[in-house]
Amino acid sequence: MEYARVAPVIAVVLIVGISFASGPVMHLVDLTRSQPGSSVFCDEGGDVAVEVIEVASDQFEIQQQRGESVDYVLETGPAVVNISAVDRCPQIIYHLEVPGLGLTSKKVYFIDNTSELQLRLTVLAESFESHRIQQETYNGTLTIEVQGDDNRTVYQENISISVDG
Amino acid sequence: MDRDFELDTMDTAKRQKVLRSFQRLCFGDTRGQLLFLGALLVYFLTWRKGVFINDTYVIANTLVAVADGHLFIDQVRFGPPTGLSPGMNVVDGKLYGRNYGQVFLALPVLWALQGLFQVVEPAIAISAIFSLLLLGFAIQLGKVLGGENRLRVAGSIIAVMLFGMNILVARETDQYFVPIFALQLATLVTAAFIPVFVYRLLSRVDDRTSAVLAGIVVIVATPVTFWATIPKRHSLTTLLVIVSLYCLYRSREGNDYHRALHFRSLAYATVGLTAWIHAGEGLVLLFALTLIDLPTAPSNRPRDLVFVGGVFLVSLLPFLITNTVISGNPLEPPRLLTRLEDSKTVLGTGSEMNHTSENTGGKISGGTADGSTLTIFFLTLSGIIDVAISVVERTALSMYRGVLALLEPQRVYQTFIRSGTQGEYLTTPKHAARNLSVLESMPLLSVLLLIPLLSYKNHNSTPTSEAEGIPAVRVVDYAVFAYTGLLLLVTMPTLPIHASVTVRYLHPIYPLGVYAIFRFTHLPTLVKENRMAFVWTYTPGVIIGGQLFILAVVLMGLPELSAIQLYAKISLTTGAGVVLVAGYSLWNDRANSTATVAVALATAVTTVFLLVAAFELYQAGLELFLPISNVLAETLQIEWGF
Repeated sequence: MEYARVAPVIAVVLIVGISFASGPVMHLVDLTRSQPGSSVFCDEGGDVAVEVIEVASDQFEIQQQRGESVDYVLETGPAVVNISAVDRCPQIIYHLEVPGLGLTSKKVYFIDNTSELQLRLTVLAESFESHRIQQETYNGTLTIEVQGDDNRTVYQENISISVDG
Repeated sequence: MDRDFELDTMDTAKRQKVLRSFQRLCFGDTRGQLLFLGALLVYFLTWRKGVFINDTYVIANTLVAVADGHLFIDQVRFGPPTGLSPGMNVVDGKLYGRNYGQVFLALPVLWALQGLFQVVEPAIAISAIFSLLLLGFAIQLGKVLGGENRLRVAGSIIAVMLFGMNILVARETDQYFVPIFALQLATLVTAAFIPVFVYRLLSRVDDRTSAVLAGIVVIVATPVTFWATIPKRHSLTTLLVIVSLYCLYRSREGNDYHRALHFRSLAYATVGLTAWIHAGEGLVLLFALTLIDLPTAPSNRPRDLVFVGGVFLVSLLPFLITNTVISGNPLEPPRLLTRLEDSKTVLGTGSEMNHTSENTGGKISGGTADGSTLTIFFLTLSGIIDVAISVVERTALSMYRGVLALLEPQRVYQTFIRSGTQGEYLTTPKHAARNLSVLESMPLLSVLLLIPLLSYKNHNSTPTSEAEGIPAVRVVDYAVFAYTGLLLLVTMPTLPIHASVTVRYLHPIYPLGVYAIFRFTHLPTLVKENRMAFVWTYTPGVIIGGQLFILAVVLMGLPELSAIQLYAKISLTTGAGVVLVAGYSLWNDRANSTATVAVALATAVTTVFLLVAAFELYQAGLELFLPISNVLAETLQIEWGF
């Protein structure tokens, strides 16, 4: 049947044709929505109002692991914040510093006017070899910062991280 | 005019012949190609773009370096700017990555993507490729099932419709991450060959329907799909193991001496390529292969061994050359080098790193410049001997530790059966593990416990139509057993380990497990005889079961980690169910359809995991590449509890 032979050819021509026509070279039609949240497409800076709802600082703990290539893992806790009044593309930074371990761990959240109004911030769990763990507890500082036109700290807490095991 | 027509016909015939040879070489036959396309479609649907696990940074930075024409890393494009991420090594003040075999495989993919993205937007390109794959799948499906014309038309319409839907919701993609996309695409294509080679191996042993079924099981009921889009080594090294076993089988099949010798040497060639990616895994494969191949080979004449050894050495060349360029010692792979974290004082800051990377000469060229070639030769030779002794020592020690580890009940229990912190994980989420055990990752594997019962009942038969000596299939069985055993010995001392998700160090055992299920158990017979029971349990199992799981997580307000452990419990329960019912069906034929239902449920549970993992759990804040998948993930987004 002729149409069975022709249909795939038409499909391929349509798909390939539209792909190239919308591409950066021909650019006959723009088919992709830009992502203002990305630093490439958004004018960096601006500001955002941040309301800290909850910080699970009690969940930070260094736990001994059974595996032999990694001896200890730092379990981390999340923070929940509400955001409003987003202007351009500021960043929210969730930051943990433990001087006793020489550890600085932070995660940057790029904010724009499409961001969720409630964010759950996390920092990465870190792993340590046993020789680095010398104390039973470590003191750390947990910070939430906003970086935009101006940088400011919206939350800071000194936490005690116990070593389990 | 007639002459032109004749030339055209000849060209078409020649083109078709070339296409058919290509199809046979890569996929075996149309069914193999169908499995490949099917796997690609599933992987594209669940492709999360970006870095899922932080040791990908090093591989991505290595790819950027290799694309720039050198092995050392002079710009840290991904991850912490100091380069301090897992797997980063230092030699003479220069940074080096690892898994160079994986990186070189991704290099042509990177060039292709860079070229493609110059003319087509990434999201549109991925949507177009997805639709074209779907069209190809429909056409091939028509060839296998019949009704080709209808499927060509239907496939064309659906492909265009899905392309339309994708471009409606497509977003711009940041091309900064193209090296990571290239690594992902290379891994994804490699992973799509795993079900193909499981099918090709089993289709030579069993009937083709069972072999196709095994290929499908690899895609929908093993963690192969989970790791298919995560650019780690596991998909590649797993594929090389399966290809090696396939070649081993072909080397024992038939009476063609030269063909057998070629396949035997190809089986060893995979070792060299594996070593280029991960030297340790290459060594395990080499041990398993020689352990089984040498005693069972129909001929071990010196000229056979020289040929096989020659091909093996050639396959090792990329590995040896890479090591020599990096460390000056051909036997010292990146994983034996000094880690960046151990040598902070040597490297210092990022600016120092840039300074040292200006020296383009490696260790060897520096030495040659001094003129004392003989001294360098002996130093290199002594270095080679040192590393060789260290490798033998490490292997022996590792196996000894492996035996001890296998004797620790709790370690074995947590690796294979139940991984999460027991008892309280639903109430205290901070203790809940984010990992699954082997059985939680693939509950269907539990049926392997029935093998002793089955061998007692003597259900399995051995083909007898092979050439002289041990049948080909038995040789592969032994090799599967030897490889799995050695892999367990080498990896057990480090297990269970965090950030492993599906015990990824044991990744090859999942497709090998499928091979074992189809070789030694009555599961394929059960499913073939109760096809409708399987389909009508599996399909609602995935559709309704998946929704029920998400509903339960939302209603219980579970945190993400507890949701993972809830899944683990469900998975273990189906695993236990399947082994009990399938075991009972051995003695009572009336339980066959119930056993098929249990098998379908265990299969569906893993499929649900693979889907939920991509769309809900383990998302790590990543977007999905395919626009419609991303919209679906955003729509389904769960507000996790604490």
